[in-house]
Amino acid sequence: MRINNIKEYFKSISIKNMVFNNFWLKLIALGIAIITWFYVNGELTRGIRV
Amino acid sequence: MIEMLNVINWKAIVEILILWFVIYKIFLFLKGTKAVYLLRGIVILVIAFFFFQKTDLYVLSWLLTKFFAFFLILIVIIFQPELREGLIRLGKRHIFYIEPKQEEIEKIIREIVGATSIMSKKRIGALIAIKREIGLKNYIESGVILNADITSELLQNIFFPGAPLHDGGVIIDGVKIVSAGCLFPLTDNPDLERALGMRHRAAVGLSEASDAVVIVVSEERGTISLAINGQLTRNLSPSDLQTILKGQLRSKS
Repeated sequence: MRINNIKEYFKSISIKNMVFNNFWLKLIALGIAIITWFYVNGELTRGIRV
Repeated sequence: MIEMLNVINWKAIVEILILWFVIYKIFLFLKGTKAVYLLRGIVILVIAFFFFQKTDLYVLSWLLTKFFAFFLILIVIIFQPELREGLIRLGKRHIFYIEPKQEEIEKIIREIVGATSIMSKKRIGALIAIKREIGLKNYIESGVILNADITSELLQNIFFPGAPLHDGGVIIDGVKIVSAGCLFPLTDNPDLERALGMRHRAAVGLSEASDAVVIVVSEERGTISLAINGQLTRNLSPSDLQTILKGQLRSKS
């Protein structure tokens, strides 16, 4: 991959698009990820205690 | 609550971010497919499971736990094509994916819309697939390799009734017509109108199997339709088609 192409790629990234494209989908996914992590972490910690 | 926050460290944040990314990608993949209905069903079952557990309904909770085990095997069997496609997509992503230049895209769109508009007026059936990120090698090889520049005249010539390649689909990759007379997979979507012919079914089929944008011109009515991600938008005017194509094939650079 040429350096120019990589530069072009990074130039094309828009923070606004990254945040607001499919905003609700991202938010729901984040919610599920947090719930899953806490649930699994809780189960694992409980397992270790037992 | 404070105890919960105590377990948050940089490793937890990294794990949550990775989980978030994976879940988001699964959502994106499922969006607009029939698997969404399955996802809704799973969500209802999971809520029911937690409800049964909290209310100490052990028998129902036990039954649901056993059902989930079978359900996983069922998912693999029922959604084997989707799972296969998902893994293919996973492998096809390029970190530094470079799209064609904006001027090139505009030229391609102009030629395609020009040809489509003329064929629509003359009621010449056409099936044009525009490749995006997912490779269409199997379908390209089912036709005749052309590797020709995209021009409105060439497209009209390919689909001219009686021409040797008019029956199959054309595949466009970048600035080239790579193949013509290609065979596309037919959709088995029961929601599609029965009146739709094989050309429309092939367009929807290919758009389900890949991320390609597929244009169809009806031979009977001369209408222009567009299939993207398994969804067919019908009765488009050439200007509608141009606007949608510009949005779908837009270069980010």
